[in-house]
Amino acid sequence: MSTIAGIDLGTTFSAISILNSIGKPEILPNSDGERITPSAIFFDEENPDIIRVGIEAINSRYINSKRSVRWVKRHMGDNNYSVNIDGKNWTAVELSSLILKKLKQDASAEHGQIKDVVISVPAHFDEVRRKATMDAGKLAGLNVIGIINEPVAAALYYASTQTVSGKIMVYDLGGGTFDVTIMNVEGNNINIICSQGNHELGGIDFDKRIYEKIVECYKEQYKDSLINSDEDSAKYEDEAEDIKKTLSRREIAKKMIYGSSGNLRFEMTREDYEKSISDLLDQADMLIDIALEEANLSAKDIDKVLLVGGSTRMPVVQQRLKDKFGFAPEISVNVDECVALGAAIHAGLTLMSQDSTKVSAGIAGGLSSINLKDVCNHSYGTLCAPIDRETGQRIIANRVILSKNTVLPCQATQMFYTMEENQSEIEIIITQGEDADPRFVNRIAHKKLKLPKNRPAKCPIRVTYSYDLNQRMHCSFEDVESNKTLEVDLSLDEFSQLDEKQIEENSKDLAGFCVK
Amino acid sequence: MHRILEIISDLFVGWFYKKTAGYGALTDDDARINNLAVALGFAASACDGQMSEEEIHTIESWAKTNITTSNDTRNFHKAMTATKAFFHAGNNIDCSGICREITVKSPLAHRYRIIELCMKVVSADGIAKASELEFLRNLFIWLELNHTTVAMMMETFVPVNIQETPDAEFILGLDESMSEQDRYEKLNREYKKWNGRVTNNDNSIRIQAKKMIELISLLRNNSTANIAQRI
Repeated sequence: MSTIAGIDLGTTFSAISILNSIGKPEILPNSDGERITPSAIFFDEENPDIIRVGIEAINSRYINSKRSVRWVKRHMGDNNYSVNIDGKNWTAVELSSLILKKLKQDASAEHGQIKDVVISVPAHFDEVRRKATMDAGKLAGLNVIGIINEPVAAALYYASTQTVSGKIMVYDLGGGTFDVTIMNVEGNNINIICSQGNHELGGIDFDKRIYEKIVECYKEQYKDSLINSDEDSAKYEDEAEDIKKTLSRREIAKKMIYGSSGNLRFEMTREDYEKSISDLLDQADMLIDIALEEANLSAKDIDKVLLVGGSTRMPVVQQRLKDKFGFAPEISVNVDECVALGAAIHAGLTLMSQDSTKVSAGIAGGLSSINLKDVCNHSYGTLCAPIDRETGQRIIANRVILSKNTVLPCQATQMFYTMEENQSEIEIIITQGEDADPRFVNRIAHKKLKLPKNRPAKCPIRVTYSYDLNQRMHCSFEDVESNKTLEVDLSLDEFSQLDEKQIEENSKDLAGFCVK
Repeated sequence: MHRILEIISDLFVGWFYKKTAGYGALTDDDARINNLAVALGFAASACDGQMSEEEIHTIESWAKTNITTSNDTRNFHKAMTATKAFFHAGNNIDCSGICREITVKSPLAHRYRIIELCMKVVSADGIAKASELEFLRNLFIWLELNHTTVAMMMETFVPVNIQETPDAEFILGLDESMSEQDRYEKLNREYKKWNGRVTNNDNSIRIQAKKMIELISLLRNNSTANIAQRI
């Protein structure tokens, strides 16, 4: 039996954990002995076949930042993003696969072959980003048996280690993304109620505010630019991060800034810093309000707030939550590790449901009491042509059929009608998104349903969408009179930007590089 | 104001009467409203002191669809040329007066069509300048339109990323009469809406959504700061 693992592929840091012989998750340190690995990549200058991932990549940024890459997660699913190194355009999927390969390599060195994994993603990631994450895992030589939402993973770990009951809100503010998830927990039964998130809100955005302040102060004092190269930029990004961390421990941070026109003694108080990021934290507050409204709850209904992600170490975050909920948030689990630990538990549960023979009796025993009920992450609908009530004109609109946050597995049906006499076919567009305006939703499938001839207008068409526990969506479009039906299956594979052959070819390409 | 309206009336309305002799009062009003809409379109184009080709083209296409037909283009072009010359010369019209007449004679749906035309005109050259946005804000008040509907139309026709100086309150449909709680709720709804659009497949919508999120969070931040100050 291969080792079952969970991976937290983070914007700034990543971690891997495995299930031990009794089904308890454990973090595996990397080859440097660190429990979390910076999600940073550096393409070695002297040896183009060597790619460094982790702390060495961070340090190398100051030497040659053009050969270094960070924060890839922000670009997952973006077709237009690539980084050119030595003539090769590296996509976000390929770059992420290097981080995963490093985690896998280091873990396998001590614990044998790591194969079956669950990788975590932000709760608000859409299908394209989820699939891109799975593809990255495949390129790294992993068998990705599932994807789990980060806050759900954290809650799984939390519920499996503590006695919990009531309404729990997971506040997950990481290096690059923010998620808030509300769930009902009774012992080991975890029922997700809803999630909200922003994929561009996290530690690097807070660092940026400090970075901008340093640059501004230097300019003010010396009338000269502090940043004259990409390497300068990389250096002061890290200085800003360091100042942020100091301000989580102290009221004031001081730093000497060595620029080309002279040195600057930079000081920042915690109060000034908190003011500078208050609009960003307001965004997190808004998402909490939205999640509470979606869950039909108010702040006083929440029994516990669980913190996840390194950015929750900021005192201002904890104070804001205390002000809102009237009690201090829970900090009993390691905010950097709980997602990977929960992902490993989910990997065990997934393997057990797929093929129980793949899971040892010890692990199965440790996991058997955990019961997780998840919800639909997005709304799914179809484009139709209703009459606009205000203008009386026919318009194209998106009609939601399966709503976000519906408990899985779920199914919903709506009736539509043909528009014209002798209509020979229906153009079917499956959408993802909640907007009525078709411009603002993503079109995820385009099909046609042929209709019988010589019929009047307004013949009924029954549209049914269902979504199962394995994140597979099934859509059926039935012409009620003739029983003619078009069935469409949409699994995460449908959203892949790479087919199996491309993954195989890319894997071969990547095998030529040595990840250290 | 009256000179331009006379020009338009003489040419467009004169043509219209010939074609539709015997129509009732409502149709007469429709024709007049369409002419006034064209006048407002030109005023929208001229309000920043520049009338771009794209703006004129937008007005012309609207006028062609709503006022003239393909077999009567001579008078149409004459009217367009005269109107362009009128505004090029720096003349202006009494827009609030025109809007007063429109609100009396025209149903709500027509008034939305008019502001839609003006929105399309100000965004035709790819940038909506401060004076053009001010013009739209006034038009919304003069035509007595619903703020929420106009805000939604702005999303489509004058996206925030082409606005030179976005007025967040106007774009988001906020006004001074709202309580702090109502503002919070409205901002939350808008945030939810735009946050759902930041992963849209269309890059221009992603840019628009990010800009909107910035505006919303700044407004929320101001509200929070105001409350904190009062406490």
